Amino acid sequence: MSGLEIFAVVAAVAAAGAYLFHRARRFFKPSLGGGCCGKCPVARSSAGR
Amino acid sequence: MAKTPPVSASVLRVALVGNPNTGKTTLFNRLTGARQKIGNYPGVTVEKKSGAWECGGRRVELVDLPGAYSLAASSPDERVAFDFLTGHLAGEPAPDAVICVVDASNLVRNLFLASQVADLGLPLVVVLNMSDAAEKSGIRVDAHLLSRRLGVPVIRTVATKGEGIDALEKAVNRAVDERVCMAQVPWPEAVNRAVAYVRDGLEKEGVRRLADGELRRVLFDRQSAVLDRAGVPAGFESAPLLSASRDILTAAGFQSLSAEALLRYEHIGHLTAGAIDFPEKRRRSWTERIDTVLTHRVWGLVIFVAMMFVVFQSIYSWAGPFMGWIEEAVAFVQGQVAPFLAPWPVLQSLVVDGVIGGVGGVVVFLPQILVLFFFISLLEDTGYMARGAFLMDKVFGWCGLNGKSFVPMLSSYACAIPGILATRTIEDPRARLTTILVSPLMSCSARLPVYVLMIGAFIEPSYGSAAAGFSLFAMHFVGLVVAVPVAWALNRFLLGTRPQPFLLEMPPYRVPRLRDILWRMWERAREFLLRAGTIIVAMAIIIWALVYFPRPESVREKVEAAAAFETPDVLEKRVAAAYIEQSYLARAGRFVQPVFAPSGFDWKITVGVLASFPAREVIIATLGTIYGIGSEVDEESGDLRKILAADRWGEGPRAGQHVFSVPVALAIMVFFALCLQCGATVAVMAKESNWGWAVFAFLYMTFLAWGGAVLTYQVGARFLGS
Repeated sequence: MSGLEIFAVVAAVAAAGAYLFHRARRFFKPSLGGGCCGKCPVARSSAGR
Repeated sequence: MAKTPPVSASVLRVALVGNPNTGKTTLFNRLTGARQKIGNYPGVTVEKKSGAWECGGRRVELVDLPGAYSLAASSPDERVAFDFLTGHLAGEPAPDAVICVVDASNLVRNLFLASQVADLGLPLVVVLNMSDAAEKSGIRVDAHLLSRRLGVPVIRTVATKGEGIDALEKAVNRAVDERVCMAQVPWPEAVNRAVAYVRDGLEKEGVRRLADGELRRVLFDRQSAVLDRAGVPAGFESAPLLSASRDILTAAGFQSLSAEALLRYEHIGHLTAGAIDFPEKRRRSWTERIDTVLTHRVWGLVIFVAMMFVVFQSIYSWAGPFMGWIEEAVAFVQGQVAPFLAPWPVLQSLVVDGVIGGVGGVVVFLPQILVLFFFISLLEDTGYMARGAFLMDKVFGWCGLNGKSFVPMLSSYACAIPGILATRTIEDPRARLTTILVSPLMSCSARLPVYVLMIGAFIEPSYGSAAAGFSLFAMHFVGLVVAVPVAWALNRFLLGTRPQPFLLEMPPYRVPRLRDILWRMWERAREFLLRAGTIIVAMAIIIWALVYFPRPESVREKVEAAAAFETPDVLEKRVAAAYIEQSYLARAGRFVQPVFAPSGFDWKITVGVLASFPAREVIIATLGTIYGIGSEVDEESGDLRKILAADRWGEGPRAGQHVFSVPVALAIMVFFALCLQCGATVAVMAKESNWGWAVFAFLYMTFLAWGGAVLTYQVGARFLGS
């Protein structure tokens, strides 16, 4: 495994992990208990505005 | 509420109110250029949405409120409308004016709400929407006469065609500038005395001074939202005060709960006398004629089931060729990218097997999603959705599900999230909670790729395409059939919900607009691809890493020593398979696999199932990645269905047997049909109820799914062989 490959694999896995962690954090965010988070399909349907 | 651009103080706020299914959102979309969801059934809009509207040179924040028949506000969606109009929503001042959208065909009933809004003292414009449909049925409304009588502008519009928009802009400007308010009901002395009694009683308790319109809501409504919002001191018991005030009405000869309706309708009757012309001889409308068949107690159900069968058969057969093209495109991309990365085999595997293989395996199912949404849009926009709910109520009402539950449940066939939000139309909180807890059992579009993969790989080759279409149809009924006993058990043992009468307005049948259908298909396709490009890519990369590593050289040496006389191709496949068998993912999968062994799952299916808890489609990406990196399957086409069909157990009591069989495929489908594998749905359930109920739903559905999969496999294996 070359240095480039090690770097690419580590970077890809780290980026994927960070993204999933970010999604999971948003999932448990207490803001959901209050107003709309604007992320669900219903809220997103207003994006065309 | 959807995020809105910041609105400065100089921007007017205008609310759109009206009875359900009068075309408020169509008008909202027309005025603001928004693309909010519309549909031909009551209760499409359940939360307020706002948009910018350039109204005759003025900047207006237009707010589309959920439909309501009255301001009595018995359900959560109606309460949003009431709170907004009275300025009780946190950080939301009352609107500067209100546009009350009325269905020209049902004018008198629709003006009831307008009259209640007028009671709040807000400037008002009445919009006679769908006036073309009213005229077609012979109903003529004299808008000028009605405007003079009501004292507010009455504008004739056809929102779908954009007719009457200029006149509406002028009318709104006039209503704001001149604070034009609608003629109020001349309340009898007894009502005024009762209102004064309530006011005095509340002021003694230190409640802030309420307007007369709000006090009338306290007096007339069975459970008024006003007192909740007015800052009633803790411990204040309102019942004696209300009872005494209603006694004043009773003494004057009014039934306290029906007094408002009688007085308002009498007033509306005077205002509309001579302004509405009904046809002398009422003809049976097309809607009524069609309904005699489609809502018939026997034929209605037969047609409903037949129609659903045709829908799922079409999804299966129409999408097939397009699916083939996407598969070819994915293979082409893999073929083009692989040589560029050949000097770096690990990177090549990550990109070709992990990212392209994983995501490509999911994207292949886009045509099915598009065809499904074509039919869902068609059913919703024609008005058949409400009939479906009516038929479902007849069949399943016995289990204690509220009649109004069936609209959210049918909506959940597209996606459980809007389905759960649609439960806001249900007044009874316990009935609403039951519906929230069973709605995710309806087979949403995210399950479709899993069904199509399994049916295409195992049912169709064994039993033909008709059976494949039927299986897809049957899988969509599994959730509904299971939801009925679950709802019954929840009501009987946990929530104690009493049966509720079902009251749903049947909308007239309409020819759907192609533009709306195409837009909904595009919206869903965009969302599907967005998921594939974000969460699925991320999951595919993680799965790839877990299945690719570790790579000790000793594994290769061992395989090469044992199979030295094999051809290089076969040898490479054996090496790849051996690496996977000792990967991190395989070790974790084997650890958990005994839990799923009774349902016939091997470690690959087990990790696919576990990885799919954030999003169902991940199982396809997982299997695509695992089999893309390597297996002993002698399959050159790269078609995941064929690869799955050829895979065999390498060890254990079933060594040499096929991993996937018809019973295993059925067990996988049943597991996915019953399991709550959607993070977004769990979050929305928590928002609409609380985290306790969301966790409860997750746990009961997981156990139900596991039990369903085990039962399916065990019964299937007995009759069809494992």
